[in-house]
Amino acid sequence: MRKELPMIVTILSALSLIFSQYFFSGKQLGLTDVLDKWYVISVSFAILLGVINLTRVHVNHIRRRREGWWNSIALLICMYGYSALAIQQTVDGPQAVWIYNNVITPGDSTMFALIAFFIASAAYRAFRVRTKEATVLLIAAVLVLLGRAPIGDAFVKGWGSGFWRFPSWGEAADWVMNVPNTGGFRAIIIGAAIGAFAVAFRILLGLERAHLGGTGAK
Amino acid sequence: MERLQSIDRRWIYLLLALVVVIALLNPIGLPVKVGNTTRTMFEAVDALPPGSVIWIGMDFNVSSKAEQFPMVSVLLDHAFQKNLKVVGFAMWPNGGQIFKQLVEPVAKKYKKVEGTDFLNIGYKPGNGVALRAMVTDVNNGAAGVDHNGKPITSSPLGQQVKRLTAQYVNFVVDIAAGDPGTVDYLNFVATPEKIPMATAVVNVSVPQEMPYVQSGQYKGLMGGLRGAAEYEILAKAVGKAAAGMDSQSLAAVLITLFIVVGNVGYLATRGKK
Amino acid sequence: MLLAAEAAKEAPFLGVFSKGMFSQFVLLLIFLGIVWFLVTRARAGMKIPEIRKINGLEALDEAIGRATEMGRPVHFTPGLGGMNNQQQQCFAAFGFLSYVAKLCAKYDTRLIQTNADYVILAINEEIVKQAYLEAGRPDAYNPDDIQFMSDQQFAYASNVMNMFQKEKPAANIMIGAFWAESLLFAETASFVGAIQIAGTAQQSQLPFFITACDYTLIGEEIYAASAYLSKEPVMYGSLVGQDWAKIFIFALIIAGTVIANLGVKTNWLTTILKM
Repeated sequence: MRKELPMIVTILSALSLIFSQYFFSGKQLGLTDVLDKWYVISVSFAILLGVINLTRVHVNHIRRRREGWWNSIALLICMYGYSALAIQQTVDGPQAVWIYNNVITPGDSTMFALIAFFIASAAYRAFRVRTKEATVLLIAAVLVLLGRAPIGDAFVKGWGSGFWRFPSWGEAADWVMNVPNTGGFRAIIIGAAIGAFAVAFRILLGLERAHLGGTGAK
Repeated sequence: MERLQSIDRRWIYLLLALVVVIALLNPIGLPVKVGNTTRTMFEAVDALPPGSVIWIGMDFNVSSKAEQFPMVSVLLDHAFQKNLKVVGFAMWPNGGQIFKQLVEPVAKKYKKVEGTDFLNIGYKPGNGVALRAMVTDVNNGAAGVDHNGKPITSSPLGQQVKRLTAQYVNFVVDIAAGDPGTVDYLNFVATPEKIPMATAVVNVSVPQEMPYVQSGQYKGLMGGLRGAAEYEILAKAVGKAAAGMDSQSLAAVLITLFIVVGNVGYLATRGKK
Repeated sequence: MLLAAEAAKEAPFLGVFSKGMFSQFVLLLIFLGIVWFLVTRARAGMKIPEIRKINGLEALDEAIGRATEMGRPVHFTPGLGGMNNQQQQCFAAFGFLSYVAKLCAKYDTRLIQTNADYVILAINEEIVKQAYLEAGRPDAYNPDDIQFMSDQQFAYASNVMNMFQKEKPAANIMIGAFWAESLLFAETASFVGAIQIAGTAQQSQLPFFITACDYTLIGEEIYAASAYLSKEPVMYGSLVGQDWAKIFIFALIIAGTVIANLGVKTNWLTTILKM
């Protein structure tokens, strides 16, 4: 029953949602809203799983004096301390907001800003004219990189009009974004949507069982 | 030549940081040409009659502050210029807090009052589930209270906007950095409820949103910092986005130079081999 | 409740269906029919079309083998998706993890599995434990290597980046829903010389993976993984069905384009699809 019960719950939930979504009487019953509420409440309890895992892993780090074990102490103090503070004064409380604004905000912004640096090093490392495909990728990247910034148009200004128009750098970048890029993205979106549907259907049929533990196919 | 292929990445980072900082401190003032997607969005908002309700989805975090705070600010500026009513709603935990932080200075500038001219519903958990709840009943979906903990129905605007449908909301803009975000608004709000919608996304998300712009599902798009700068120009509310344009330009040039240097090194050594 | 009732006041279509849902329901049945037909054929042992080789999936064995030779761990992350956010990509990741965990158990290679979602964590713990059990090495399973780090994007990202620097995995496998952390992971893993296999249906992150990783699974390829890796005819059948459904969609797109360009006043195809 360890695997059968979750499968039965899955199938019943899916059928309820299909009934609620497509059929008039299902919509009137408001089954989707009920299931949505159940879902939000049950998932909220699952946060305990994360707390337990973090606590177990880091207590073990401290106990075994693993490299950087003092970081584990800091993590546990932060996790339980901030939780206690937020429970005591809600997340909008003055100290909770102060900590958030002065710790999380700059930390998050720093991490996000790192991406710019990593883009630079990844581009330098990867964009080489090794093959035809890599060359196309390189040209498109440079076109869009400069074309999306105001400086592109400063390098190449367009001239002429209509059929005889020679595009500016920005216009060329827009063309790359709007025509080949959008076409490719549409194909990926459609393919991914159908792929997701097929996965859902395999789960519904009980073919896909990886999430229940094991090999994922029967 | 061999060394051109393996420059220590720390030099790359150092040069990039220098270029960005120098450009921020000494702007060149490169002209910014307004793109079509931003213009379409501006015109759609601009065409709304005074008193119309614009619903702003606050689906991003402080991490994308540099790109998205200016987007919210300029959109609010434009909305209040046009005397539109603004409702802010967040599927991301910090969205309500960010909206509060950004709406207050703009509201002060235009003498707008909370509850009458704008409403901050704040963050409600459940992602798309929370959004679907808004379509059915805003007050019920928000568990009866706004971001400040006040009853939604205690404010005139809260009483007015009963549901997230075309009957009560005239335009939707989702300012998003990921999921939940634009897809949820398309699936649950814009398409079924037939409310015109635009979006403002981080630069990296622009390519994936373009198909929806072309299909007409979005009435325009503000893409990244450049999009915000373009909107600032159109709304005549020049702010932080325009200031960041020069550093973005020079960073792009520097990255291009690195690519060129890497390829010169590669081609030279390949010839030898 | 009053408003919910008001929302449901619309008249049913054909007395049964919600407004605008009839055509969607028919499409759902068509897709189900296609997949069901091919699964049934496969079950009966009848011939179904061949499936092309997917390099990223073929490379999994190579990546884990390399980590084994070097005596360094394998890292697997399903990204930031959860059960309420890109869950379909999480399900795709489960199939991968099951396969990877089995190989790691077989070769006695350490598997570090990091998570940003507590529900996914519980499922992944079960998958890895079961894989070690099936490989006959339950004693080698270390629950501390299946870690929840944080559900905050960049707290999770910095934790994973720190782990890369400390543990120096020889293989980094990233399958699932990724956002801005994709390049942070890929670049940091490249600094420590890890072979990288990535896959996502998040279109915005694909360019980063393609640029920075050795193998990238694009969009629906990640959904094909569990079927492809299982080598089971029934699962193959569902994959082929997926492709047939795609052909059907493209036929609709072409028909719609032709009708729109013929200058017909009422596009009957659009009318049908709106029913």
